[in-house]
Amino acid sequence: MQQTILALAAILIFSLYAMSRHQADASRERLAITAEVETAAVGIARTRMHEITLREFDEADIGREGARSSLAGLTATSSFGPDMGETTEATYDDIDDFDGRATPQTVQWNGRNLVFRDSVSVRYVVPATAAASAGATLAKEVTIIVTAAPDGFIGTPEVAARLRRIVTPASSTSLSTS
Amino acid sequence: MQAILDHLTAILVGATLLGAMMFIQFRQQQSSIETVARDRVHEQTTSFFDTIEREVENARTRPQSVTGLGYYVMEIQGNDDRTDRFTFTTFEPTGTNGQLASVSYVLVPTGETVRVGTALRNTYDLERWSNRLPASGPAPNDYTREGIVATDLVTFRVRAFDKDGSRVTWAGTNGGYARPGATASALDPVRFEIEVEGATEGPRQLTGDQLATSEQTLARVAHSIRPINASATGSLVSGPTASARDLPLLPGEPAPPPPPPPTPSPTPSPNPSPQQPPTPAPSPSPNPGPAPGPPPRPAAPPGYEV
Repeated sequence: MQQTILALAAILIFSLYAMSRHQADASRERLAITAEVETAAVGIARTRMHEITLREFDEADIGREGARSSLAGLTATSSFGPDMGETTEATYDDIDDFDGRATPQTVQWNGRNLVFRDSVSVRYVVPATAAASAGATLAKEVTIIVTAAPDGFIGTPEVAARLRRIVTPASSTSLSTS
Repeated sequence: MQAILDHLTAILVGATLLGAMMFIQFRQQQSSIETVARDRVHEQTTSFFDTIEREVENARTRPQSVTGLGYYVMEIQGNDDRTDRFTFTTFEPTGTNGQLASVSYVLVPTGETVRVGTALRNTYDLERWSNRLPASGPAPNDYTREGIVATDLVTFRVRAFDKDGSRVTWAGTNGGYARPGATASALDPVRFEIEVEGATEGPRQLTGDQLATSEQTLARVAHSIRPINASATGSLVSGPTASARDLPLLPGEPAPPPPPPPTPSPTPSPNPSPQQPPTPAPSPSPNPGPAPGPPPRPAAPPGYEV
């Protein structure tokens, strides 16, 4: 009887030890996978940022030569979003067309899909302070948030990458000659 | 014998626990090795990616390449799953100055595999080849191998995009995958997406549950890169036009198929379609002659500065 009780106690102690070890290993693996998912999320955010900032600063600048230096004709904040006839991203031609846009994204990682969702917001900011501005200014701030839903056998963690960039009319007109 | 029977329970339980403890110890050891291996492969992959990112950020446009190097090459060979060769013109800083060079990254199979998760993946080395102007005269017709810039890659993929975000594939040229047309086009790429996966061999798997853990030894880096000189409008910027150079072959590389017939309208379209029409035949040799200067730009309207 005494021997059985000792054996049971040994099993109990060992079980606690084994669970502790497995928990530590799982945490380590989770950290490694989190880093991969974060890297993928940042990659998506950068891609979206490049796609967006390739467009003109404002709808009023399309077809114009040079960099805007006045506020004349700038789109009001209330009119941000796709303009008339712009039904797909391929037809978006200026930065604020992407305001409020949210799209699913998928990344292949070792043969399986990592699923993300990105969302875009655009607002005017004061160039000198980067503070939000209700009226039109010569600087627009583009914010992209990419989130990953929990998934996988150990639970791919929920990850969010946030990327912000302030764009000015001169941002896309530089061209070196060398 | 009597002593064994008297302590049979303790012996069985003790032996079982000892075996289980050894298993946990092995597992912990494997996990530690995987972590170190992962850190190493992540460092290698990101370090290489930083290098190629700097070079692509320094990539030059068609007009700049024609002006500085005498020819223009921008080509992505391969397929959707793997890029076998990526060639572009970049600026190499040397000393207080620098020079333009056509750089070619070539993916070379090593013939070895690495286990990632439950799959065996082929590994590749990435070689760097270059073509530069000599002290005098035009650029040579061949590329010079400069060495291996990355090892143990399992994925190398390059995609090009035009100013509208459409994928640039240059259908109908060089195996149907990727070579720009002979003249400046609205479809010349202004953005690249490069994906690199590096992997290393983890500790040997012994049991079924351990197979699931070795994905840690895979590091993936994929980013969008915009050449600074491309600007928003890419090659819509006025400048010289010149034929895309027929890419010099590497040693042992088979000759490409004959070029498609030329089309009568090389003028850039103001509303580009995702697919570029068939292009004029690429020149078989570099164009060392000076290119014509850009046309004058129109005057800026009120409220704009050129």
